Amino acid sequence: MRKGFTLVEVVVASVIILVVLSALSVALIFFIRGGKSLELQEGALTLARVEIAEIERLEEIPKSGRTERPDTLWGHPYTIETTVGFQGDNDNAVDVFVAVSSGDSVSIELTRRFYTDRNTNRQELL
Amino acid sequence: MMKNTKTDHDQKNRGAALVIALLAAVVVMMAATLLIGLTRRLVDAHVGRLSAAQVTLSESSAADGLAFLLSQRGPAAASEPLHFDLAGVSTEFTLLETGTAGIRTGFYSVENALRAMFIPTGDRLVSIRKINESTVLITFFSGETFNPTSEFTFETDLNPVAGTPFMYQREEGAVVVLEGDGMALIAVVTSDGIQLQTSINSTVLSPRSRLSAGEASDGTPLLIITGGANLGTLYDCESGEPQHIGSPIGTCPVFLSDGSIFGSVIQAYSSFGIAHIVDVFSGDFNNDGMDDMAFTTRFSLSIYSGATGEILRASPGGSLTCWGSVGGRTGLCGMWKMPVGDDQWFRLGYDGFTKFSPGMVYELGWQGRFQGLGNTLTGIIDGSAVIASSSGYILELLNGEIFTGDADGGETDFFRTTENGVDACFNPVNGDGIELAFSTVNRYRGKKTPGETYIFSIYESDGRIRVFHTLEGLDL
Repeated sequence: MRKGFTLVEVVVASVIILVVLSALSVALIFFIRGGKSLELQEGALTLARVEIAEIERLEEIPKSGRTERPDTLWGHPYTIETTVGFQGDNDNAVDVFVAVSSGDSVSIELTRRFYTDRNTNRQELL
Repeated sequence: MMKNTKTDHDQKNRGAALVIALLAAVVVMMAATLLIGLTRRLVDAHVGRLSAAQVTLSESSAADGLAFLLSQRGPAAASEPLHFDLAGVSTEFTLLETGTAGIRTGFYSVENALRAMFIPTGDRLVSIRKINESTVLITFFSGETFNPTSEFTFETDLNPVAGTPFMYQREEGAVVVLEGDGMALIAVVTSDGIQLQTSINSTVLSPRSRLSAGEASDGTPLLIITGGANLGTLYDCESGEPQHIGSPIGTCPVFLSDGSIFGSVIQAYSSFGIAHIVDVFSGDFNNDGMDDMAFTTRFSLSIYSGATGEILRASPGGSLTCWGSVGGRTGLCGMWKMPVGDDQWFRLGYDGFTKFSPGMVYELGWQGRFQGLGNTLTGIIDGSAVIASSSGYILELLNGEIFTGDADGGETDFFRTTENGVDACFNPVNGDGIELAFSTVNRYRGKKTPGETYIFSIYESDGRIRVFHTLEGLDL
C-alpha cells in the first residue's frame, strides 16, 4: 500500500491554493495601495483643514486670487492651492477654496464661505 | 474484501487532501475578504471624515451667513426661512428660543498680564510685553473671539512704555513708544508685524504725556506726544524728525477723528503747565453733524467745534470731578466741586455751557469720564466700573485696575487687568442685547445630519447692529 496523494490530487489542490493565493495577493496589493492612498488622502485632508482653520483664526479674508505653496506631512509632499473670490451673486460673501494635492492621484477640496460688509481686498470677517 | 477496503482507504485519503486544500482555501479567502472589508471600511471612514469636514465648514459658513443677515436686517431676519447652501451641503436653521443676551463680556488670556501694556485699537486688543531682556512680544487679540490672531516678537533692549491706536494703510494697529538708557524708539505695528520704526536719542515721555497718532497728507505716520499740557512734539514715525506743536490753553494737540491735527506747528503758544490735560475724547457734542473734541483739565471742560473751529470752555471755579456725554439726554456735561457751596453741574447748550440740575443717576459719585445713553450711564464709581439708570438700577461691571478703550468696534469698553489676562465688558452703555438660539440640520448627498445649536447675541449701538455667535455650551 502506497501512502500519500496522487498527482491529480496534488494538481487539484495546487490549483485551488494558487487561485486562492492569487486572490489573497490581489487583496494584499489592493490593501497596500489603498492604505498608501488613504494615508496620502488623510494627509491632504488634514492640511486642507489646517489651512482653512488658519484663515479662520486670522479673522481676515485673504486677498482675492489664487495662491499655491508646497507642504510636507508624514514625509509626503503636497501642494496647497488656495483660491479666494467673491461669490458671483453676493458682494458680501467670499468663497475660499482649498485644494490639496499630491501627484495626480490625490486631491482633496474643501470650501469655506466668509461674509464681510466691505468690498475691499482686505476685510475683517463678520 | 481487501481490495474494496484499500479503495475506500484511498478515497478517504483523496477526500482528506481535498478537504485540507479547500479548508486552506476557505481560510485564505476569509483573510482576503477581511482584508478587502477592512480596506473598504477604511475608505468609507475617510470619505465620512471628508464629508464631515465639508459639512462642518458649510455649517460654520451658514452660521456666519446668518450672523451677517441678522446684522443687516436685525432680529426680524429670524422670522424668514433660513437655509444656506455651500459645496453641496444645505444647512437649515430653526429658531428654538429668544431671550436677553445681557451685557457682552469676555476674557483675553495673557501670560503675566500685570507686566504687559494693552492698547484697545478699535476692533482688537493689542498686548505688548517684554518676555526677556532683549525681546518684546506683541499680540493682537480678536474683539470677537478674544483669541490671539497674530503674534510676533521685537528684538530690543528698550521697554514698552506707551502706545496709542493707529490705522496704518487701512489696517488696524498701534504706535508704540519704547524707552530705556536715555533713548526712545517709536514703532508702528499692525497684525502683520512691525511696519516702521525710528530711534530718538532722548526719552520722549513724561508721566503726564498724552499720545495721539495720525497720518500726514502723504500717508506718513505721525505721532503727537504732549508734555501733559498744551505743548508737545510731533514726530515723523519714518524719520523720527521732531517738530514743536502747540494748542490753546486748556486743550492739547491731538489728531481729530477726520484725520486732521488740532494744534499748530507754526503758531507759537505760551506754555501753561498747570493746565494738565486729564482727558480727551471726541463726539458730536453740539449736534451739528461734525465730530468735535472735548478736553478736560482739573478745572475746566473745553470743546473744540469741528465745524466752526470755535473753542467753548466751562471753568466755574471749582475742581472738575466728573464729566461725560449723555446721548439723548444732557449731552456734554460736567460736575465741579466748588470750594464753597454745593456741587455745580454745567452742560453744553446752544451758545455755550449753562448750569443745570441733574437727575439722581448723575449724582452717584462718578469719578472721571462717564458716558450715557438716555437714562443709562456707565463709568467709574469708587474705583469700580458701574452701569446705572435713572430707574435706580445699578450694577458693578468690573472692579480693580480699570482702563477703557474700544476693542470691538462699538462704544467705550471697560477692561480690568488680572494676573493671567484681561477681563472685558463691552459697550455697557448700550445695555443688554437680544439672544436667539437656532438648531441646525445639514443635508449632504441625500443624508440628513443634525448640526450644532448656535446662539446669536445681537447688540445695537449707533444704528449699527453687531452680532456675535457661539455654540451652545461654549462660553467664548
